[in-house]
Amino acid sequence: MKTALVTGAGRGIGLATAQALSAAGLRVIGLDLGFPRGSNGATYVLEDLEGIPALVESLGAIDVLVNNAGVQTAVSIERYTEEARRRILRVNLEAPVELIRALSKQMIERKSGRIVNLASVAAFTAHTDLWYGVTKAGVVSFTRSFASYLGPHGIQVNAVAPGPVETELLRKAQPERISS
Amino acid sequence: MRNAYTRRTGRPEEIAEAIRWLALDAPVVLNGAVIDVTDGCYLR
Repeated sequence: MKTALVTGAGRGIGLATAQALSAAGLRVIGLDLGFPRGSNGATYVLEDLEGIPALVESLGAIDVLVNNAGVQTAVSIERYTEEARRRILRVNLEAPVELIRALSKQMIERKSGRIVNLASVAAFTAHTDLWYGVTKAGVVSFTRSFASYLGPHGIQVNAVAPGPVETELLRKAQPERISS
Repeated sequence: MRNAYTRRTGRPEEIAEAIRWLALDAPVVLNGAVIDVTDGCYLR
């Protein structure tokens, strides 16, 4: 049985992805800051970059990595705090890179693995949250770089770039963009 | 979402389906790709 690691699996796109992969027969390990009562997953704060190699080591064999976890504050650049900037760079950009770096070692040994990163339409357009757009443009960049580094080892690295999706991230940051 | 073709916000499970496909079923020659799942919201 294949195993998938999904970050930000407690809500939104991460939760839906964990459910879809589970329905497809995979064992899914979900990571998040916390999980709603009744659901399972491992609690981890992705701002802790230094802890990522040990985290990956503790999880055993992983065949599929979905780098989904992301934050957005959607305040203007004039109002951005240093703390918020540091957090978004760590969670959206540096943590997924560190996860790929740590996990790709075992994938290279097995000569197989699939990695899916969450970019965003914000990578290609102007965005209210400047740093969100910057981090998502970075996801596009490292997706292509890691594909070139890891492709020769039998590992696929791709990304999806969603537009606005009805999630807690969008509800909190830009409620005016939600419509059904 | 007046720019989206469906005139509504995307649903998490719709994005998850694209992720599932990339994670399990996409051909091995698909690598380094960025797939838009935007419902055309920035095309016009």
